Amino acid sequence: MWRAVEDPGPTFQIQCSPSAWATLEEVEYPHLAATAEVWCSVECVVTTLLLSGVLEPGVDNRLMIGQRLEAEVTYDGDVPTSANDVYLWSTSEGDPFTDYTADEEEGDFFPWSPGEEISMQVYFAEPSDDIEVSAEVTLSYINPQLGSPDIEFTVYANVEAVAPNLGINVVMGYGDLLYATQQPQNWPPVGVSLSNPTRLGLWHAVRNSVPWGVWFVGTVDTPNDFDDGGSGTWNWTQLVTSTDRWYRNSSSEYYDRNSNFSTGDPRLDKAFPYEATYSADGSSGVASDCPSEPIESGHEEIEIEDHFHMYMFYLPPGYDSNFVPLRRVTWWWQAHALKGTPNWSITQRDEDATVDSVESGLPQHPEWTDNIANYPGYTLRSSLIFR
Amino acid sequence: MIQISMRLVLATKFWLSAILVVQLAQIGFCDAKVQQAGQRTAPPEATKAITELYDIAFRYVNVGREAIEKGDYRAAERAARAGLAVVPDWPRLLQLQGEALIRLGNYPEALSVLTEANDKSKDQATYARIGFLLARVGRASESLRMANAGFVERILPKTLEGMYPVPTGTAGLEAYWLFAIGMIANEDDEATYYYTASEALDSSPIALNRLFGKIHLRNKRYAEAKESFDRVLSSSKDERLLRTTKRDRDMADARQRKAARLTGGGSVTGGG
Repeated sequence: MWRAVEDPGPTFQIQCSPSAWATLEEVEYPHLAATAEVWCSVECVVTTLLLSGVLEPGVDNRLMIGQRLEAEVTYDGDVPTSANDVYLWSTSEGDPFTDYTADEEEGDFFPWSPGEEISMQVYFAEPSDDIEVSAEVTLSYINPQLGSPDIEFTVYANVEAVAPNLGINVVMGYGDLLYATQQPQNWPPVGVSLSNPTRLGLWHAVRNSVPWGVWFVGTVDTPNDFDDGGSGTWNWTQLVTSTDRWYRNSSSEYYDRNSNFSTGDPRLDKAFPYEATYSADGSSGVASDCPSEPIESGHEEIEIEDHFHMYMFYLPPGYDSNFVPLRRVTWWWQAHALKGTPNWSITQRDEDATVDSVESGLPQHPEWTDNIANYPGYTLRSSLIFR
Repeated sequence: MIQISMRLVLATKFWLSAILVVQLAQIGFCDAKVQQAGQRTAPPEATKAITELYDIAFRYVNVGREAIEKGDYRAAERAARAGLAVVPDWPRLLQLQGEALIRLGNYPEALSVLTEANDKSKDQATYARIGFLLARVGRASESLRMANAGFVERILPKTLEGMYPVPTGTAGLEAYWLFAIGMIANEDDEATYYYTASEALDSSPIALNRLFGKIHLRNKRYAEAKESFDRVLSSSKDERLLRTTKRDRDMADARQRKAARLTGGGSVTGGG
């Protein structure tokens, strides 16, 4: 007779049934003496949920989002385990995931799902004060003498997932006609037309006297409690969520950018990361973008509309940590320019940038399966398409 | 100590600013080659120059944070102002200034500064502080509206929504926001400051006692931890919360006993 008692406390009782008695039926061999012995053996086996990896077992189960958490059910005592044992893991919150991989062609997020092994590995993407990690255990513990039913119990551990401190600043410009030799002191004021522009581009975002299309400035600092193994790193990563670019020439032919797309999966812009990797010790990371299209001789009209997601990606310190996005900047710009006599002029332009605050302040991991750089050049548009 | 640090930072600022001026003159920001090729990112020199300015500003953030930890809120406010002289619109410095002003009790100015920070970059910690300040300066209906809208707009963390229902009336609103600020905080000191302030206004919420108890436990204040956990155990009906809290309460008890043994069998009921 076997019983598992969860959380028995300092003392506990197990009732044996039947109690210590035995009967002997005298049937065919009444001359044989019979003896019976009833004994009861009680073993207290402590089962624990051991958390390892970046954590110090037995102290506080705190970790940064993106740090690897390993959990394993362990036993004090000589408890034999078998291939038939089942461990059903669960976590209460914290947006758990098993992996995130990213390169110039693909970004893939792998959410965590309950496993059935004695140990499990997980990352949390969302900060939380009270994540419960538990394993429901079913041990097929067969007593060699008596046989026994499965032993079932649950072990728990509490985890707190912490996000780093961060700051973000976005300075947005607006579309304008640009000279190849443009210098800051010669910026055309809003609305001024130009005779020989060489590009239609995003411009005028001034950051500390330096003009560009758009500036992203961020800082990330890992709290002191977690930076023993270094401070970790972070980067900017940009996706193009839609783009539409075209021009018309003097023969009234329309040419579209091959990269145009308005729906479907976003495409990575440039590289992963977008520019550089920065230390998560408060050092600032500055990225910039100046999207534009050339204006060549023979062009009569040109339009651009681009939409982007710029992510702030964090890689915490610790062995085998994984990327988690901290913030997403949703930004877009649009400009339309028309050639007149003798000057080109901007006929329409709009722009905006918003730092998204989604649940818990953190966005979902972005995924992509393509790179915008795979679509160079222009294609003559079918005359059936009316612009 | 803080004054010495600030002088060092200021001296560094002047030198780096001088270097920056020279660099900007040399860069030729967006020359013919760049624009003809349609280069997307700014020249490295320009990026570096901006990086250096923000790094100076971040040192002011650090000076200010250290001052807040030491309770010198005026020094923190001065550090924020000095940083804003370098990078005038950086939300992180505005947030630091707002935090210092809250702790100094200058609520109207704190509200103004944090509203400006929030306009530039929405941030849940700033949002929660604005919610508190609106309640504190007598604009309770706006504060209540922010509390409810925070979940609709997904600015406030969903764990807050599950843990601490928004008070239906204006009473308790300040305690609610103070709890929210504590919960969003990454550092124990900051969380303790706001949980304590929330507890002073209303000690009954289960979530407050649960999270405050955990901070007490982590910082070896076992008696206070047990007291907080006991409040949860006596008032919650949530099965999971009862289970996790009982486990933490048992841990606090075990550690308290162990600490007492290690210190020669002293009282196990004393504070941490």
